[in-house]
This record gives sequence, C-alpha cells and structure tokens, in this order.
Amino acid sequence: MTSSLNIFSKEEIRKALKDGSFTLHLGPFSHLLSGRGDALLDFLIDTYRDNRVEMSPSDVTDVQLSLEAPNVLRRFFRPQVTPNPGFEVPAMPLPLSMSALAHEMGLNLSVALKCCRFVNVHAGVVADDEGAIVMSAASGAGKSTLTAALLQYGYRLFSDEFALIGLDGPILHPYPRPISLKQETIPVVREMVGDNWISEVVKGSPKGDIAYYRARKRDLARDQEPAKAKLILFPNFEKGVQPIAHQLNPAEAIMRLVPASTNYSLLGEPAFRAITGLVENTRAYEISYGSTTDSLRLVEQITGKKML
Amino acid sequence: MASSGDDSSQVWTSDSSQYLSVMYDDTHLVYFKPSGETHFLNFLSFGLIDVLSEKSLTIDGLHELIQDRFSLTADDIPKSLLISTLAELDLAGLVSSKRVKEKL
Repeated sequence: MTSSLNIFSKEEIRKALKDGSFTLHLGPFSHLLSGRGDALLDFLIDTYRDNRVEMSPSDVTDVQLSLEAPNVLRRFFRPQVTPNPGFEVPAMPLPLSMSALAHEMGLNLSVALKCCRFVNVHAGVVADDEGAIVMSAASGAGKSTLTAALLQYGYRLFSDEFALIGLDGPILHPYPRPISLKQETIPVVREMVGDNWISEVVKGSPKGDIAYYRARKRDLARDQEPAKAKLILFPNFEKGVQPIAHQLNPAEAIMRLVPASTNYSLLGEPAFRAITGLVENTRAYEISYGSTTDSLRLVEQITGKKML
Repeated sequence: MASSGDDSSQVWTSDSSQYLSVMYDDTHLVYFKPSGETHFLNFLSFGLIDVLSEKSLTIDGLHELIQDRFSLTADDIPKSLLISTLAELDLAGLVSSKRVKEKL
C-alpha cells in the first residue's frame, strides 16, 4: 500500500532507507532505495514530499539503488557516497553532503541503462490536453529551463530527463522526477517558480552548483496518464542569438533522436519501430534562442497556443 | 566481407527479411537486424538493396536494371558509382556477393 512520503516521520524514513525497504513509486517504475545520512534524508523529505512511497519492499522493483560509501574508511572519515545501481558504473565518489546529486545520478543511470520496457530518450517532456512536447538536447542547451517554463503555462511535467516511449505504440509515459537545475539556470527558475519549489543548492559539485525543482502534486497525481506526442523540439540556448525555429523533416528528427536514446542499441528492432512511430505525424523543429521569453514565444508560434 | 564489386563473375544479393525500412521524402531509414544498426540511405542506395532483394544480379545486370528502374542513363549513374555504393552497402552488411563459376 502506497502513501505520500510526507505522512511518515523522519525516523521512519531513516529506518526504511537504512534497512533497504524504502520503495518509491513514480510513473511506470518502482525504485527500492537505501542509503544513510541526513543529507539524503532531508533531500527526499523536501523534494520527494508528495511522492508515493512504501516502507516495505515491493515484490518486483525496476530500480534498486543503494547510496554507499566507496570504502569503509570513507564511511567515517571525510564521508563520501557513491550510487550503486547494481551494475558497474563509472561514478565518482562524492562528499556525503552531495547525497542528493548521487541519488539523482544513480536513478538516471538506472533508468537509462536498465529499464528496457520503454525506449528511453534523453529529453524533457511536458504535455497538455493536445499531446506531449518532447525536447531533446545536450546538457546545457536549455532543456530544463524550457521544461520548467512550460510548466507555468498549462503544461504538466512528464520528465526533465527521459522521454519514455512505449514499445507497444508511440505513446509517451510520464516520469515526473524533480527537474535538475545547473549553475545559472537556478536563479532563472527560482524567479519563475518561487523559493519554496527549489531544493537547497548543492554547491561545488563536479557539475557545478546543482538544485532541484520539486515536481508538483498535480503532475505526480497524473503520472499514470500517458500522451501522444504533438511536437518534437531540439532546443539550443545561446546567449545573444536571434530566436529562430527551423522545421526538420522526419528523417532528420530520427537522426537526432536515435543517438539521444540510452537503450536503442539494446532494444534494436522495437526501438526502431517506436522512434519512427513517434516521429510519424509529429512536427519537429530545431529552435535557437537567447532567453526563456524567446523560447516560449517560439513554442507559441509553433503550437499556436497563446502563453505570454 | 567487402569486395571490389567490379567483377562479372560476382553475383550480388540482398535479403529483405533482414532489414526494416521507412521512407521519408527522399531518405530511407533502414534498420539492419543482424547488426542492430540504423542506416540513412538515399534513393539510389536503397534502390540497390531493393532491386537485389528481388533478384540476384551481376554488376552489369544491376547497372542495367537500376537505370531502367529510375529512368537514368549510364552517364547519370556511372558504373564506378555503383561499385563504390555497393562496397559501402557490403561493409554495412546490407548486400552480399558470391562468386559464380563462369560457363565454359
């Protein structure tokens, strides 16, 4: 039986994390998590407060993530943490105070490389009643900021990290984890959504300063409602650039989506069918812009949906 | 294994059960099952594997048939272009060739 995380006491959550019986249910996945320390505990209690959890292990879990010290010494002396998703990953040990980052990195690695019920494409996804917008871009291209911005204009969060494309039809499945914000995007999104929605900043991480924009309760409540794609965007933020949208033909869109998939090669033929199916009847654009306002104007022009 | 292609004793073939294809405008997206790789082919490259999946042909037979199929002349599609394209498709595994004994 699942309950909202915020009904449990800090000690109950601490014990479940220590015992390895803390199960987080989100979108199509269940995650069995374990770890220690106040940094992880405080992050989960704050950023995952509205998520459905169980304090006993589920029969079947998609992800099993343990946040562990890299060795006995680093458990006690200048404690460090590293994500262990159950397979070898090149994860750098982080100070225990950066447990939030280790947790999010661990979940991303687990879903990217281990969850093969969907074609996973590195992309932000939001949706309204007309369908989903998939935004695929390399890190730093403005995907998270645009995702966060669109949430303020009637879209619901599917994911900031993964477009999960169904293997039995080109349908996108929600996985509304917190939105990861890096460096200068933190104040931009903070101004957009307010202080209460942003986690404490993890300072000086290997990725620079990191904070997380908590998923909204109403988006979490709809995490079992998939959507068809209505638009595919390849955002490109560049300071000072004139806003421009360039329509891509389906083959160009596929050429960009295939390398952005983390499990295309593993899935093979079903992944080919899923991605070609997704692109069929969906327009795709490369958009370049120098500000969030410009990016929203471009989305307005392309969708015809008034936002600003 | 890739071969030079310019050999009248070689017969070229392709197996359409080994790939999936989708056409977008003038681009064909081909998923090759044995390698798990996806290839983007222009009309000529796809035309070659399409023709060869219907009928095994020598380079000369293929040259003739491809001109006929796409209403091209020998100047439009020189044999050297055909040979180099076949070599690339051979490397990708999308076509293969075998040597046949010449009649005495």
